[in-house]
Amino acid sequence: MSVIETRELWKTYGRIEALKGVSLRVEKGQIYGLLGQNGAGKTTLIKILLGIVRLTDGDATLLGHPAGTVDVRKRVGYLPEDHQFPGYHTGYSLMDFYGSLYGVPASVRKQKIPETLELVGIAGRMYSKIKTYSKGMKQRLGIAQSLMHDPEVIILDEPTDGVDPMGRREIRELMSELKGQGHTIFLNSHLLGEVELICDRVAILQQGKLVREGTIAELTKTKGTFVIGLLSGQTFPSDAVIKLGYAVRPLPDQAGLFEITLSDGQTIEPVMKLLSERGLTVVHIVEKKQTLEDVFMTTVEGAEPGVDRKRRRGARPVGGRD
Amino acid sequence: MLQFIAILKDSFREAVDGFVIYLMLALSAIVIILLGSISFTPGSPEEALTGNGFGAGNVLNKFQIIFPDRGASTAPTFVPNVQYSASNIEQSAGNSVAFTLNVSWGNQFARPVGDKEKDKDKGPPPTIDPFRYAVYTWLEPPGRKIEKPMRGRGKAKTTELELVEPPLATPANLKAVTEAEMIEFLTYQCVAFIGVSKSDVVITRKPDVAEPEYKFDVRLKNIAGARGWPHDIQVFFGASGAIRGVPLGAALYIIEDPIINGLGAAVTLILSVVITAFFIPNMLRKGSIDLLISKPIGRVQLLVYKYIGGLTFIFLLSSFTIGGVWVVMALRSGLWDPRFLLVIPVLTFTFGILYAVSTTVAVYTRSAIAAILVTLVFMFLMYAIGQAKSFFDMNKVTNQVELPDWSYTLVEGLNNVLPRYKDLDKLTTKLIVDSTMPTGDARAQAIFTEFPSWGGAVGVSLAFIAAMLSLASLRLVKRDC
Repeated sequence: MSVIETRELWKTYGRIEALKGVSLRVEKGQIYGLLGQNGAGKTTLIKILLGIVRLTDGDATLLGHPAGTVDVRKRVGYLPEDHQFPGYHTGYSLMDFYGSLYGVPASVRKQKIPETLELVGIAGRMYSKIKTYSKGMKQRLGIAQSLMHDPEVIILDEPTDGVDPMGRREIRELMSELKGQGHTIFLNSHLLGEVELICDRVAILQQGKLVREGTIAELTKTKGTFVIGLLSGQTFPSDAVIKLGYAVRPLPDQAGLFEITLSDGQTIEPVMKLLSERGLTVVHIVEKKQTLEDVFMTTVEGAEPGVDRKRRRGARPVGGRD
Repeated sequence: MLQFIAILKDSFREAVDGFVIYLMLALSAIVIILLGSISFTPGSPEEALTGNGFGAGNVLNKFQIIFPDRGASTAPTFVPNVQYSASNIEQSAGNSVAFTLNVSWGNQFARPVGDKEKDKDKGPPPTIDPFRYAVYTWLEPPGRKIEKPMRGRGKAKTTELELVEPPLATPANLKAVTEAEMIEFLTYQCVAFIGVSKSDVVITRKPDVAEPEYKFDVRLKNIAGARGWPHDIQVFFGASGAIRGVPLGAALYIIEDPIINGLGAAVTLILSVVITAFFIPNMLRKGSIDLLISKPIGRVQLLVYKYIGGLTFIFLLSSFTIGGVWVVMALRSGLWDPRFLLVIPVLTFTFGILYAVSTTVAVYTRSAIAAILVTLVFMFLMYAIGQAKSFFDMNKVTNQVELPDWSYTLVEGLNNVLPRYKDLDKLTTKLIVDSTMPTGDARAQAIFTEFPSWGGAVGVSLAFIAAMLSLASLRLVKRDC
């Protein structure tokens, strides 16, 4: 049974289609990353899972139950993007308040609150008013409140927003630790480097459609592409290599380097043998790989920005600010 | 339950977060201290029992008002031709006073009201003992309530006064009145109009006085705390000049009703409307509502709990102010009647009506300013309708102004369907009257004022609150946050 599953999920706001038939599955114990431009529908998807907004069509389940029901929400922790904590609370009292809403008994809250705040690194300020917290501290508090009731699923919308690099690393480590404890994490982030570092699977939403989905390895996998450079003064035999059936192109911004693209079933060895037979000396050979950012940029390149770019008169915003 | 308590605690934190509540508490503290500086000194028995030097007049004059059925009837009648006066007045230790109560008759004695049509041919009224007749009236069950035709509302329409006809009595009836019943009657009148307790009254009849004159030796104890006894009032711990001869109950009533329950409550309600109008829009802010709705709590539950939580603001404030006023007034006057404390829940409930409007407007508009404006306009409207209702009710009795039938129907219709804002105020006033005035004076207040029922006032208002919250819930449940 998948922990999160959506099937042909649609959400419309008036004439705006925020989600267009999104289907995805998140398995237990995974860290699942959701990527997309602003307005791609990421936050809307999360809000549907939590019952904050209603789906228009399709189906969404959380832990095997219809998404958004009260019973399911007991088993989910959530950090929204741009959260607003009441400034009149201290870190401790806020955790106590939310813990009570989750039904955590007082004795457990008393023990768990300092522990959880310690985990996110703000225990030293837990009796200070939240209005005195920095953005990073509020973000850490937000993560802490999502963990308060030991949920099975943790949904984090931009968890490292406003957090310094050191803090980001700590949060990444925390997520890995939570994953190790069997929690499932559904992550929405703009920081592709982070997502690449910790996510097991990633989905890319573009204008409400799911355009790519898979493991990091699957998404960053490229057709075999090598960059080769010869000794200074030697000429690369492009025509001969093309005759062997390879695609060749010189790299425009790196003089003397050529990109060789392999077709299915080809290896680089015949090219190396040709260069050797012609007495050419290879001084640079690197197998080219894609980063997640490359994948993301390639995927969304040329696409219209999100629907929140500019609201038309009478139009309603879509979900959060994603 | 855990969630409810959590939201109540959260609302409490929100309420005490701003400086405004502390400012209001400080102002309340000043009022409490100021009221605590008022001293009440019992007026001299000579002045109280003769009325010399006092604007309030002779306290014994009220004895002409009689509550039949041994005081069980709340509607009184009058036997005006009996004169009560005091002589040989002596003040003794322990706030006690002793005097001779002289009962005589006036020269305007008229026969009791009866069926005049039937009795008109029976000749002149019999000469009867007026005091015995007064005692007989007190002993007998109440007569019919006096009906008064309402001008401009057709011949058939009359209004019933809270006043009953005195009984018809025969000489034999009057002769049967015993000395013990006379003493019981006078004891009751002392309790009802002077405000002493029954155990503090000792009355014996003086012998050798020819009827229809009567003389009684009366000893009253503990007149210092007696509600109907005239007192001298000084502010600022005796530094100011004294206001002389004000019955203690009337003084307390003026402080507790027009000042605290009237002016103070109006200011508190308006300020509370302004301050609490931000609670719901704050909760509905993006980033805040997401956090709450993602918790395992239903939206309707969340709204209702938050609404109740909002009432904690005025509950805290009114508890402090009214509780404080009650304590200082009780300490200064010696009158520890807790009924004034019921103003706290009534004021909170009254605010509940306004806050339901504020909550609904806030859910629909998410704007605190809109919530404030609409609620204040609504408050004014309710006040205006309530005032109109009071005027129409009074006009039924006094017939000061001739008004068309439809105007009565309109005002009564509006009053029936809208929350009973003014009715709650009237009922609170009655509560304060009952808790401060001697029973006789308190009941006499009701003769010309039509008091609504608690059930009607609370029931219709509750239904209105439920309707408002249902509208707000419907909106919150249906909309995406």
